[in-house]
Amino acid sequence: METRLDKTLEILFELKVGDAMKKDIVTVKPDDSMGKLNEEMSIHRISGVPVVEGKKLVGIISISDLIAWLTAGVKDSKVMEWMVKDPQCLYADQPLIHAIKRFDQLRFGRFPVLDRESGELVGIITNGDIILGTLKKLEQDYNEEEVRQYRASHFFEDINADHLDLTLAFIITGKDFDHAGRASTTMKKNLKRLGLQPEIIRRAAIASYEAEMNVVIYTDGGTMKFTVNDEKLTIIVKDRGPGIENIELAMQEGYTTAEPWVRELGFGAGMGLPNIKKCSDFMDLQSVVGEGTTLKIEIMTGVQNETKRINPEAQS
Amino acid sequence: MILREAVELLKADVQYTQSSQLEVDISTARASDLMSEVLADDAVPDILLTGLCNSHVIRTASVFGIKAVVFVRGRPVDQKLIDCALDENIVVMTTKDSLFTSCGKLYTAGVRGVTENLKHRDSNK
Repeated sequence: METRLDKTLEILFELKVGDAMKKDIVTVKPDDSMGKLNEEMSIHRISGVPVVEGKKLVGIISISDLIAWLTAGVKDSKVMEWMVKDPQCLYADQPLIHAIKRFDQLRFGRFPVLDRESGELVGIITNGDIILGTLKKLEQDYNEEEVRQYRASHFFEDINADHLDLTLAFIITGKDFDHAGRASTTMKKNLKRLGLQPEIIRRAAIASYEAEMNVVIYTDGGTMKFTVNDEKLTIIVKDRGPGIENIELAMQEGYTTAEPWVRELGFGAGMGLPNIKKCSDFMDLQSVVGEGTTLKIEIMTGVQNETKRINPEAQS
Repeated sequence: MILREAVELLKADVQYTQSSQLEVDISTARASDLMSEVLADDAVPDILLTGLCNSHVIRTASVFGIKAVVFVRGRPVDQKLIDCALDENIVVMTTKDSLFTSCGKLYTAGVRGVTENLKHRDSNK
């Protein structure tokens, strides 16, 4: 289970300083008068202002500098005399977690944000901006996943037809071990969103994973097609050969034609096909040597009943 | 025992986890280098110990519903495996102990084999 805190940490790595910073910023010029700074600060109710020459950041001036000026009682003073020169900055492309560490180390109220390439000032960031940015993203992510799950689990109720089949197809590349299993794990997530029972999802995932590995290991590639309706999940796996010589033998537990390198990957124990059979309610294997193999798996689901059970409040 | 205690017991380096995942309860384990054999089991172990070190171990864990994987004998895990664990949310840890020693330590601490549990149940029938 993923907790909210983990999610927040993830967001702090994912979000960049540029995503959370304020972009419309008030700035002053080095030769502006301190009187003007005083006005700007009270109009905009801000406590720190970057000092820029053109688009280049030359300093930062805060309310404490303003107080120092007022206390000193000097008239006709310029910003450049009171500002902090070469202030500490953040870059817009840095992750938010970096900004938090800097705030923690230096205890500053704000950091000017620069574009890394041009070095120009593009924004300003405070602790408050970080909190707000994180909360916004958290809310957005939460809503997106909620909407996704809601949409998917209501698919069979919202779309009207006498008979409805949802078909999702995947292409499997032979001998591509880096991506082997992608179709099955993606499909597992899809089935979860569709609101199927965990036990059904697990059986479907195991059967399709074994079938997918078979296609990757033994053939030049093929396709996998998942069809879901309110009664069952059908998985059809087709490959382009070489085909199985003796299906009866292949179905026997422990029988294998796998080469040693397949076993080194943790497969080829002669368990695949029997395991697929065990996980499915119906299994059919057709093969022509030299042409290819077609495997059909059926798992009973009862999708409609299931979604009703999961979202009882949605049934009005 | 909880997973965090297993990490300490095996002196394991945790390669990928989210903090809450280490708080889950561990009562059954399975040790195997044959992923298809694991997938053919009737019961799902809480933790998988293996000497096999590739991303298919993670995929197998995900498909089967195993929460954590221990890679034994200090095998180095590559980035592909970590990326896969991140996608599938599977705890990944490595220990310098051998498979035998790791299993022994967990067994002593009360963790039982998942297939053994099944047999025990069957013999009671």
